[in-house]
Amino acid sequence: MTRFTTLLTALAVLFGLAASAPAQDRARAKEVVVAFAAEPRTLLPNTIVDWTTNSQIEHIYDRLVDRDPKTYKPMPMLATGWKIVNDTTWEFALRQGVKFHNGEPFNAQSVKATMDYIKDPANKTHYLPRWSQVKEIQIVNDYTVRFITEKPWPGLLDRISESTDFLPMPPKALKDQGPQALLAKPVGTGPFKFVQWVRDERLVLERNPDYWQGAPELNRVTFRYIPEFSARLSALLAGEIDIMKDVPPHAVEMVDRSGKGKVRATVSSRINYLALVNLKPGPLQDVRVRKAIGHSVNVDELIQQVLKGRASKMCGPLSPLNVDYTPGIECLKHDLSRAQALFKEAGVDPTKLQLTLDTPSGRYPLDKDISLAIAAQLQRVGIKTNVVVNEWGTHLDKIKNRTTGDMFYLGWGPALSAQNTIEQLFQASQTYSSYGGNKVIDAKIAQAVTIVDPKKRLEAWADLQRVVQDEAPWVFLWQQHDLYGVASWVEWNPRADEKVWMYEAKLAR
Amino acid sequence: MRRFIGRHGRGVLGLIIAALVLVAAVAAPLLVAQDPLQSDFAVGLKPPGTPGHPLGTDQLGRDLLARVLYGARVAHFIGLCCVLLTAVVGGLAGLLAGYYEGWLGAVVMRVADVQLSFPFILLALTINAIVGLGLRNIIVSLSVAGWVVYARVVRGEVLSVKEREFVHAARALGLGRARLLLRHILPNVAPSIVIVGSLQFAQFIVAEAAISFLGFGVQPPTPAWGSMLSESRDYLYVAWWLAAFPGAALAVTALGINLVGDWLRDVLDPKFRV
Repeated sequence: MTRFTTLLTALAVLFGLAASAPAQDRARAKEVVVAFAAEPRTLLPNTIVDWTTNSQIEHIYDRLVDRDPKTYKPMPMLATGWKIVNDTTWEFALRQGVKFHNGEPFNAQSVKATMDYIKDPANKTHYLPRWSQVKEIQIVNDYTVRFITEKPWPGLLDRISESTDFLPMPPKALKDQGPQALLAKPVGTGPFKFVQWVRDERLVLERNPDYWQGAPELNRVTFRYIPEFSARLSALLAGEIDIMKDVPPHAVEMVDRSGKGKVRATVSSRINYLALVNLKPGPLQDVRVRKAIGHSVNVDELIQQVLKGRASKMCGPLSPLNVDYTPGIECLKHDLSRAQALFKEAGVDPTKLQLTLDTPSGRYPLDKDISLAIAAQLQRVGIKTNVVVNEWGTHLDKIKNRTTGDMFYLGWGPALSAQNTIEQLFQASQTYSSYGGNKVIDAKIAQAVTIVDPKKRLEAWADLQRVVQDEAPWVFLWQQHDLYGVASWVEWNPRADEKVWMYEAKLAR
Repeated sequence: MRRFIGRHGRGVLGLIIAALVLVAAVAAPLLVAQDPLQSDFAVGLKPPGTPGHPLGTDQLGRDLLARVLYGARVAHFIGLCCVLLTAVVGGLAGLLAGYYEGWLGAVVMRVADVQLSFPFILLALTINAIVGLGLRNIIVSLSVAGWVVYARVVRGEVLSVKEREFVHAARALGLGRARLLLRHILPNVAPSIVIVGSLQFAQFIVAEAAISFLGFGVQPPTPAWGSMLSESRDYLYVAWWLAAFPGAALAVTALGINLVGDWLRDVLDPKFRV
């Protein structure tokens, strides 16, 4: 390393020492500061589909069904057990003796009131279409409820546990005071209670001593908002924050050596891909051209050189963490002569091809750098790729409105079930899809989601993974590795399902 | 000779810097063998002094010297285009507004006043958001935001020049308006146009860097100093050279051109103030 770098690090450490007193104070007071890129877009649960928002809400509200942090199988939380009564009925047994922060008991009424909240169009929640299959909730007794579905829906358990799709709300407060009151002062059953939300600045939570799993070790959790990861990194090294997401791969060594904290890494269930859009006119309508592009991109090189090995390669649309994953799908090899042959077959001259690639910047690990690297790789076969760097909101809007270029870069997760990935991304009718209009795939999906028999269902999804892979709708890339910077005094390990849950954080011994 | 240097030292220094940068920009392909777009991931983030890469490489293994020099081309191209465009449009508007003081002059000047009440960079950004990204559009937005300075200055000059005796004389001789404006008034306001142009040139280059820094303007992989600086932030802790060289290039260029501008102002018109 050069002298200048040493100087820079020395300065950072020096500032760190100067500012480390508050970090020590926090350790004594057991108060952890977590830095996210953005503040929550609401504090109402079951309302907005957004990882950043719900990661914060989840400290106040519990899930009905969680995922085991090791196996990622559904695990009891507010529901203690579940069974399929008949093709269109799921029954859940609820935990007894749980209280909301306002003293209300948690029971069947709460589950019903929560579904009523989601189903009420006036509340405009993003989760409404995700629960359209559910006709009603029947209360069997105080601690038993039934989800009645329109058609057989074996995937209900995955939906309920995949993410923050169902966070029970207090029925009495919801009825008497309305959602607006819960927005101003959230009331859940979770390990932390709401204290204060200063817009654009911080969200403060305090320990819930009566938590049903036992009180958390931390007294306080504060979320702060630092959009740029380089600024987050500086804040971590200066001892202003204790946990941050997305340490860049090249800075891992530096954080580990800083003495301020360590990088905790996990393979994420979130997948990253390069969509080859067939929903708009252009050369990518032709599967041969899509495959030729797939052969031209050198995924291994991207993982090794750009991400420094911090990603796990994928060959099909699902990762091994996905419960419906089928092994044995072969990767499209990096093979330039095969690519040239396919271009020739399709009657396309790659040196005359001009493509546009839309990318976000800062949403996924090194997203913009990857996009530029892919453009450079395509340049090697003569394709001129114009990279358009979008602000995150614009990027999503472009995908939703189908106004992206021929290709776009996106991450998808937590992706733990096939329905949440294949149904959502390979049909023209879905919000975030880039590929569609394939009648065979549409029919197979419509059938697969209703199969109740677990074995047959798995077979149907395996078949779909092969069919989808053969259509080359994406350049399949990888599962991202989530790199969190964690201050030395905190003991906390990230999870593959991206749940950032401070109930699991402890003081380092 | 010593007296000359004493009076014109800063100007000479500015001229030397500006000339060097201009030569570097124009002769970039001759000065470096590497293609600024050619990436080799295996040699990413190499420090300055690496064989074959005197200024090191960026995160994609592109040669930094090539990128800085080609960045100079982009900056000068944008600066030059903007200055020419604004000089023609703004100069013409000022000429007409000054000569025809009636409703035409009033309309042009009110438009200019409204525009001047917005900060330049904010206005350029807004226009850029409307017309879209890319090299051509950044030139358009900077020009639309920048023409008023010429209009204001030129109008003021024209107002005084047109009352001078030789103009009255020319008019008395029966000269047409176009000829009067272009042959007799324009040459007398030309020095002001040159001064404003030289000062605006640096401003355009810095503004373009600022807008590209924010992610608008020139899009990757085209090397532009602003976007190079923006990208360098993610690597600041491990690769200082990514920020240092484009930043220094930008600062030196702006300094050189501004010195020339100031010197021109002193030499051509000591009373002139933009």
